Amino acid sequence: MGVAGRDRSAGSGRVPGRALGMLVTSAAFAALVAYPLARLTGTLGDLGPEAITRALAGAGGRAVLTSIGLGVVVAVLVVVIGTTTALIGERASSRGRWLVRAGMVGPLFVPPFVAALGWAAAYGPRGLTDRWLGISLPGTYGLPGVITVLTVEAVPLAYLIVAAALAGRAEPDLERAARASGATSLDALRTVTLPLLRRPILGSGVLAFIMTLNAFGVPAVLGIPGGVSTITTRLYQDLAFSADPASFDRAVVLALILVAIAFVTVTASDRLLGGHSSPRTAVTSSGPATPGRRSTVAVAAVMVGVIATAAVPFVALILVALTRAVGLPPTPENWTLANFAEVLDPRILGALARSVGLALAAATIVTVLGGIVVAVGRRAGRVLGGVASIGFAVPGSTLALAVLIGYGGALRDTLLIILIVYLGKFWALGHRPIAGSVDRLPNDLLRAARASGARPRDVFRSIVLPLLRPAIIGAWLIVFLFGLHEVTMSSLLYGPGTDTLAVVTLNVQQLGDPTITAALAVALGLVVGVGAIPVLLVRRAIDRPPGRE
Amino acid sequence: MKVHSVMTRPANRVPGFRAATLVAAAVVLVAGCATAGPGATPSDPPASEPAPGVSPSPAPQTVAPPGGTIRLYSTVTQATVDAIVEGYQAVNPNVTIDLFRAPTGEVAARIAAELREGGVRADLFWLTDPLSIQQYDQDGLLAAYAPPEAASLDPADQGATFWATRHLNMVMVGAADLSPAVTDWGDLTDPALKDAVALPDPGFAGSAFGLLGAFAQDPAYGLEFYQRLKDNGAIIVKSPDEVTTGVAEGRFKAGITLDFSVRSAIAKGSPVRLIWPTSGAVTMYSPIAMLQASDNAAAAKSFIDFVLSGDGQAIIAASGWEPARADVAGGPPIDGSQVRPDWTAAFREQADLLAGYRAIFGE
Amino acid sequence: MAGPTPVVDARGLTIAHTRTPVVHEFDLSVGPAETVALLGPSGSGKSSLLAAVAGFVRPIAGELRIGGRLVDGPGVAVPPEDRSVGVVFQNDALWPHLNVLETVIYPIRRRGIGRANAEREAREVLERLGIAHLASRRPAQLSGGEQQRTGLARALARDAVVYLLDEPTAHLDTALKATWQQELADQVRRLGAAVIFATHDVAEALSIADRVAIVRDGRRIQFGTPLEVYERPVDAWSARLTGAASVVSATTDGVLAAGGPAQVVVRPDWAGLDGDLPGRVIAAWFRGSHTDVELDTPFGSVVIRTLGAPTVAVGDVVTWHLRQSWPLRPTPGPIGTMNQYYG
Repeated sequence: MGVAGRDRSAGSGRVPGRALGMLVTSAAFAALVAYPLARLTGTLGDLGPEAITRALAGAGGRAVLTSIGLGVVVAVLVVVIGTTTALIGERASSRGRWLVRAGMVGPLFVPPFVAALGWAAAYGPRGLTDRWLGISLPGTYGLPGVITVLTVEAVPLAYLIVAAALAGRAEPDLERAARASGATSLDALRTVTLPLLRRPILGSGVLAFIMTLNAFGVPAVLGIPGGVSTITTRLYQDLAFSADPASFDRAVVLALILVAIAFVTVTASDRLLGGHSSPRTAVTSSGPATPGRRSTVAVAAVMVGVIATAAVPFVALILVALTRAVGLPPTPENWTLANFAEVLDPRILGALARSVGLALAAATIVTVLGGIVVAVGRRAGRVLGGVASIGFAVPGSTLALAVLIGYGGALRDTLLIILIVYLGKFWALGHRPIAGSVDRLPNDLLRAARASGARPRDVFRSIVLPLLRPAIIGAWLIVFLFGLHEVTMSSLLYGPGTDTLAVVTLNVQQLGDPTITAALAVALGLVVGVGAIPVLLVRRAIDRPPGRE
Repeated sequence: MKVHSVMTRPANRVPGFRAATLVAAAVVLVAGCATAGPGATPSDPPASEPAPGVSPSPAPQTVAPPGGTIRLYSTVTQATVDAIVEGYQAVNPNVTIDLFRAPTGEVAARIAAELREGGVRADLFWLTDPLSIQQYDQDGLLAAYAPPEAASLDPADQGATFWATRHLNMVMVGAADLSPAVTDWGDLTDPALKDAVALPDPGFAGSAFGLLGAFAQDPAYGLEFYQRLKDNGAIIVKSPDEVTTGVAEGRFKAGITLDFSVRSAIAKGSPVRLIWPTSGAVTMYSPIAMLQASDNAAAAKSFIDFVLSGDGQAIIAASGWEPARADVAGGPPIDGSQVRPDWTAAFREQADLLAGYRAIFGE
Repeated sequence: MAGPTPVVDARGLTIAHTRTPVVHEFDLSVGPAETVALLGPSGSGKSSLLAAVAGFVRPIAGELRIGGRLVDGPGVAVPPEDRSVGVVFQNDALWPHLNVLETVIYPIRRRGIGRANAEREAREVLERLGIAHLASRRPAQLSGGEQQRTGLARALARDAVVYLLDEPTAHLDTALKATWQQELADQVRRLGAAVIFATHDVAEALSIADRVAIVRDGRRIQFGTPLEVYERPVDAWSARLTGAASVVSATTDGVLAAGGPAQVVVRPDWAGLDGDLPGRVIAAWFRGSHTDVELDTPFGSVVIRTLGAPTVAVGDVVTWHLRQSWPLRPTPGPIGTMNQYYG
């Protein structure tokens, strides 16, 4: 029925305190995102235009070029691998599809810089394969390593986007129609499937580019030791390791260049692709295709890839963590739990507690903010939702520097300043699942409640909230997980006694203690992994379509 | 490493700062975590806790015992700082210590950022190398003081505002099966070690910065030594520990690092060995200083006194470092001669040091 | 309209969908215990009209009274929960988190009835609809027919003065549709309440409704009993909407004439084979109980219904006769109410 404007059925429309909701969300946006960014821009204004040329001379300019080049290469790789995997996975037998999906979703929960550490431990010089097979990948510490791990990190997202589109749009019948019209399977792929997937494929490429641009953990772990600086790691080094005022100026310029590249990319792709494609989360079954032996082989190949890129590195990391001393082979006679005992140091447990506390607080507040956005009504909510997304679009390094400039005077070294930047950054993560769920909520369900005699507040309580519960829990958990392993922003903002577990791990790694680093990374990976279990459970609940089955 | 900013006005402690911390703690629901620092954990029982029922009888003192909070910025090894803080709090249970511990580059960046934002918030600096501290002294950040134990220190190991706490020996590390034999610094430029030598980054680690100053000052080496290392394919890593690790892993055959680092690795079983240069290890002192802007000078002074005291020096020796006071026993073995550069002279040249170094190895 | 106060009385109701009017000055009155069908193709505004009566959508002009009380009009807008309407949604709109019993209890509780009594009453409704055994199932565990009954049960439990059914059988398959239409007709009759239902299925409208409103482009173009709308369509469009119809040329007096100036409607059952009119068979569709024979005649093509299997073959030259016909107004299009037309 979808009659807009004067429709009074949506129970959320008249939830009390709509004006208050608008006020709270607008104020939150101003405080969390707008003011810090304004201060950051203002700082550049104070520095004057020649600061830009100064910053871009030498290392700064190289970092910008490196970031853009990395982004393009990773995006291309991710598109090719992600699309291929999705085509293999979604066209496989249901068991194969389940395997590929599980294999693809798993790595999403490995914190990027833990993945980078694991990659080096598995395939780097003196890594697992080097030690046992005499094979190590060249350039693990350097561009090749950074590209590989960033690609591994972004492929699952591309997979999810393309697979969702495959499940939702290019159903097997369209391909079958092409085959029945005389096309070979390759023809059908080229002329029907891929053109229909144009938007999700390009969209995932843009996403991979932006992710690479914003990536910090991977280039910090694998790039800095290899002399490769991206915008984010250059910014980190300038802020965290240099007392030279020129370095601060350069950090400001780089932060603004970073956000400019991100916005130009997103705007251009929106124009090119015609607005936001909102890919439905995958995983409604797209009818059984006709899996043959070839598909089994392909699924096996994908699984080998997943094991090699996600499982082996984590095992290698565990082995390093178990090894008594650097330079010894990771064989049982050299095993010790001493490195894990270091993790139980009160200082590190404190950092863990802060990580968990910050993640809890960010998840809870963000979920409430997301809920408010929804409660102000669909139309206003959509506007505010777009506003909330701005924080997410701003690269973490930029937002952290902006918040540092905006609030550093009063809040430097407090957990509050880290919380502020988490809220600005993760707001959209909390908002989107809830808003998406509201959009998918059939209007008739709310109308049915009104027609059954329920007042708007009653409708909200008895129908809207219960139906949104999985989305609310899901949003909470996603923010919680991101908060747990966040390092890009906290590494720029932490101070005495406000370091998080991820920051401690990064610092230990930078100091060059691989065994303790590995133990910390394994601990971080396990903490996030344990946190991820409920996400997977809730995800299944969300994916199960309401109504008939 | 230079601190260009000459802002010397007292650090304004923003009044809202504490309150904000409290708000943060409340919001985040992890009260207690906001004021971290191992010593700050209230559950740490003071060593001299009186038995229950016995009324505490404070030892007679001429001045009131120090209290409140002091903020310590340090580049010293975590275990050493932790041990000192624990020892200090055993005798000063009323003082809370906020610790920020990080590599030299990071601490310097923090100090610079705080100067930019209105003033350094620390009460104490406890650093690794004798050069950075002279810069802070020259910038007028440090407060003069006359610690009772200063007389026990080598006069070359102190200024009016800073005092040595321990000695660091820069030595060489080699793989256990290293050949050809390496005995002195110059051997690192041996073509047999091409692309297999690691050096710590002077921009990151204070000890590496000190080493740079020492070599530059020594006519036998000079900055040309770095050029020769570069020509032989030497690789810059961040910290001395990373040099040791890289040699242990087999990534490098040899490198320059701290004796402390090599000894720790050997103790754990890593396949490396310590090579004490025949011309002598470069020995530098690790200085401590208090800030002009400190609003808890009494406690800051008591901390310096403790570190320089016999007890404090013993703790440092027990944690594996050579104590600054010759009259305190313990610490690691000194396997050869020690070269002690003129750090005051080295500081005068330091402006050119990093520039010269960067001209060779890049940023 | 004479008689008692209508349960639903809409006057000049205009409904807009983002400023574009989708229903124009609609008049509708539904008497007590009367069932009215809104018959029209999809997109004709039937659903918007029901949404307005339910109170989901506020009309931009006109007045609406339910049970004699003004619920929409200048300065008046009574929300849905205060209108005493029961709604059956096209796709059932069952709440996925509530089981059948909870779903039916929902409206009863909101009439201010206590938990225990509400449950007793809900079980009675479920019993009446033959789904008492499904009480603890969630919608996802119900078949299409069971979901339909649950949706109806929820509406009935509202104990409303008027029930609104939006395309109640639209998405059912043919077999289910027939039995559900039967069931719906029984339940509606048993209610004794006013019912408005929107449909595009003519058989459903004619068989269940007391009166049928034909809706085109948001306008009511005819309102009468099923027999009236079937036998006296206002134009060719509504003639075809209300069943199979041939339109042939005639004189202004309604006598068939080749190339005549006027047109008449001929339903398949209004003519028969054999008689004084000429024709040639151009198609014959066997439909089981009967056969539809299409003839090419001097007046245009005519479909005639004969009982049983085909008795003629394509190409046969035959004769036929006309029992009944209905003259069409010259220009089809928006016209006034039926009252005016017959007036």
